[in-house]
Amino acid sequence: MNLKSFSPDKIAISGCVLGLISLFPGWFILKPHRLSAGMSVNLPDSAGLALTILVGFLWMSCFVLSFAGKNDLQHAILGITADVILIFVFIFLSMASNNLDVKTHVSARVSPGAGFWLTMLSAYIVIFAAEKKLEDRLIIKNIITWTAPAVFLFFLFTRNLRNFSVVVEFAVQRQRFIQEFLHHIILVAVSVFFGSIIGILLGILAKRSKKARNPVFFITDISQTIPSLALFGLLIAPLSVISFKYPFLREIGIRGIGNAPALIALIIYCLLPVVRNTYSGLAHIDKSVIDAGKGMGMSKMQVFLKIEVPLSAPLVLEGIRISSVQGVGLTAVAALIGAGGLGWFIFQGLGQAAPDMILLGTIPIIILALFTDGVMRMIIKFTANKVKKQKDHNRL
Amino acid sequence: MISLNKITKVYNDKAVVNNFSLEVDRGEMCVLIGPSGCGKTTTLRMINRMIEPTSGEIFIDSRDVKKIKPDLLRRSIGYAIQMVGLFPHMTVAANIAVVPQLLRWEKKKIKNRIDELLILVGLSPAEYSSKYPYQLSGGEAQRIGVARALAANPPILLMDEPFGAVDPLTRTKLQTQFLNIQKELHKTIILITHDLDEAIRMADRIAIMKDGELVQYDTPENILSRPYNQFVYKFVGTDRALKRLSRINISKFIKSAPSVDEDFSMDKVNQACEKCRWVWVTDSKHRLIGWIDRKILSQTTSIKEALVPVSLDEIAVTEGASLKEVLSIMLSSGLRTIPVTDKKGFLIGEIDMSIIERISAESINHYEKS
Ligand SMILES: Nc1ncnc2c1ncn2[C@@H]1O[C@H](COP(=O)(O)OP(=O)(O)OP(=O)(O)O)[C@@H](O)[C@H]1O
Ligand SMILES: [Mg+2]
Repeated sequence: MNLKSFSPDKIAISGCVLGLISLFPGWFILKPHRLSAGMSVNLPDSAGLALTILVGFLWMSCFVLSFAGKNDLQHAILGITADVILIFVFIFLSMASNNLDVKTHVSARVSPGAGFWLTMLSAYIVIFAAEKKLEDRLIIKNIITWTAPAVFLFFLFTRNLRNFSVVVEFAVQRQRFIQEFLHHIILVAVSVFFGSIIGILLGILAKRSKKARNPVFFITDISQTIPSLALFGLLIAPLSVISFKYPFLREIGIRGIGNAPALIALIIYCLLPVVRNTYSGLAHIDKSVIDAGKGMGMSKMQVFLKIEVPLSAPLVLEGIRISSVQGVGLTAVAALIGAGGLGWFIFQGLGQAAPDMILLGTIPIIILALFTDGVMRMIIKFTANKVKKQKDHNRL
Repeated sequence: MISLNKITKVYNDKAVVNNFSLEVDRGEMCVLIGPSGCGKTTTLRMINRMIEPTSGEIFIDSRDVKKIKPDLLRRSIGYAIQMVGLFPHMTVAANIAVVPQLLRWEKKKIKNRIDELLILVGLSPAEYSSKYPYQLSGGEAQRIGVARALAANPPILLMDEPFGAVDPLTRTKLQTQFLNIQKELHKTIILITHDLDEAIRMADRIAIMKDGELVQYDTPENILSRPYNQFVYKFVGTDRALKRLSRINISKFIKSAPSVDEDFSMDKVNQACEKCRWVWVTDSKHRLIGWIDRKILSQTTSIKEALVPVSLDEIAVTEGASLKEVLSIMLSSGLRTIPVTDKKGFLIGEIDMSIIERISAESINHYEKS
């Protein structure tokens, strides 16, 4: 047993303390309609004193576990306890939502308040800390990650959250939401697809040719240092000019604003992680391994397909994972130049000072990002197994 | 037959291999040896075109290698690289199968070949086939590297320090095994080593290199007895006389040994002892069990009483031994004459220290060129 694992987990402890504190501020804001100020309600008033104390007790158990937890079982229990707290949070939300029904009229809604958000944040801090300690325990980590979202979706689909402000907003914008949601996914998929292909090719080029290496890295690095908004903006001007010169381009949708500049910007942002990881994936292959392949009579193509591709695949996929998770978030900005996607709700909400609408854009983006991340990690874990072990072995 | 004709390789204006010529006959094992950085690996890699020489020509069976497509050339030559270079994402079996697969062997044939090779390098197929390289020790990985080079049964083998990372005991075992295969298959082999004992034991001829040049190319016996210059003289070391003995098999020097059966009468024993100072004693199956000294004979009444029992490990050598082993046993047992038996302990003859003295005197104690 190593000594380090006995030390208290500072991150988890701060999460627990924050969690306890978060029981006190107002939890829900009851509003008669979207834009009214509403009335703040504390947790004991909304859910009852007994349940509030129960959650307080759960936070205390988390505290003890983060202080003394020293094996995987205890770390797993810590993460699951945080999940249970999240489940309670959703129960409270659905209680508040259901209570509202009888008391007020149709467009009334429950908006989450400071206490609610703080508790969510604290629980995720604890979950994050617990998962970090669990390292390779992929199954239990996935259970911990997905329990809370699954329970949330369950409440959502059983109509227990029908008065939750975001759901009310969704009900109003249903058609538009589905359209923008699909559009968001398509934007991400298309840009990651082309970004990965171009990125991998550039990465291979950088590895193969010393001359190409610096220009390639220069371009990808520059693109990454320009703030996303600026890059989206920068593309408007040249694309407008081009599209005015060649009207046929306008007909296939290439204009100063819209999908074309958004996709170009997103693809450029995709490049850096993929190019970097492809390059280092290839560069980190032991020279003797390639030498042996050549020495046994493999052709260049065989060396590439049988040695370089499988050995660099985990790192390349890791680059694609970073690109896609980053892309899910970045695509929100695309709405600014008229490309649509979930960002549309965020910017509309910002413009109208309607927090519920902002959440209608944000929450699915977060879930989408988590989902993408999880799926990619599973794929990587599957392909990386042997090679990773090889690296561990070398380190010993 | 491999023939290197005035090969030069220049790196950054420096010739790391310089005007190097070498001929290795078909079925012969040539061992390349020399100080680190003298150009051994570079020379070897020019043969399978991993490196192109700056000038000079290389022929394999009278064909200029430049005229053979590198990939095809390499598939017909077994090559074990110095750094081993197993494919980390493939099992041991898949690593060995690489060349047979390139040559499109049948699956079943490949599978059988893998098992055969694993046994040959002393690793159990059941245990090792499905292991990954990260699960192997350095020595095990090296043996898989050798198995991989042998996989497609190529007529030519290039081996760059194939046993560098295995322990001395395993190394000796592998050398023996390798020599046995060689006796059967007569491959043309160029093997690089840093271990002079290995070179002397394995080589038909040794090529000693220094600073990219060939210094001496000769049989181990001649290298040891007639070092060409001071460099070789120093390289083979002050124990070269001993090393030379290790190359010489005892079979030519075995004399018949006086022996008696343990059931013999005392008269017969006395008779046998008349001409010599002692006789070896064997049991009814002619297995060596001890000896009788003539001086003691007069004071005793039975063979049993006179017999000095021996342990075969301590005083006897077997037929295949070298003169070096004989000397070593003589020194540790204090005997000038020791018995030779076969593997089962049957007495074959004896061998005397005078032989060793005579052979050693043959080796000239100076080098030919100063
Ligand atoms: N690609 C290269 N570029 C420049 N110099 C090289 C290159 N490859 C080898 N050398 C140099 O050539 C010389 C011979 O190298 P080589 O690898 O043939 O030595 P070696 O005899 O195999 O040594 P060792 O016993 O240590 O393996 C060394 O001095 C080395 O530094
Ligand atoms: Mg070398």
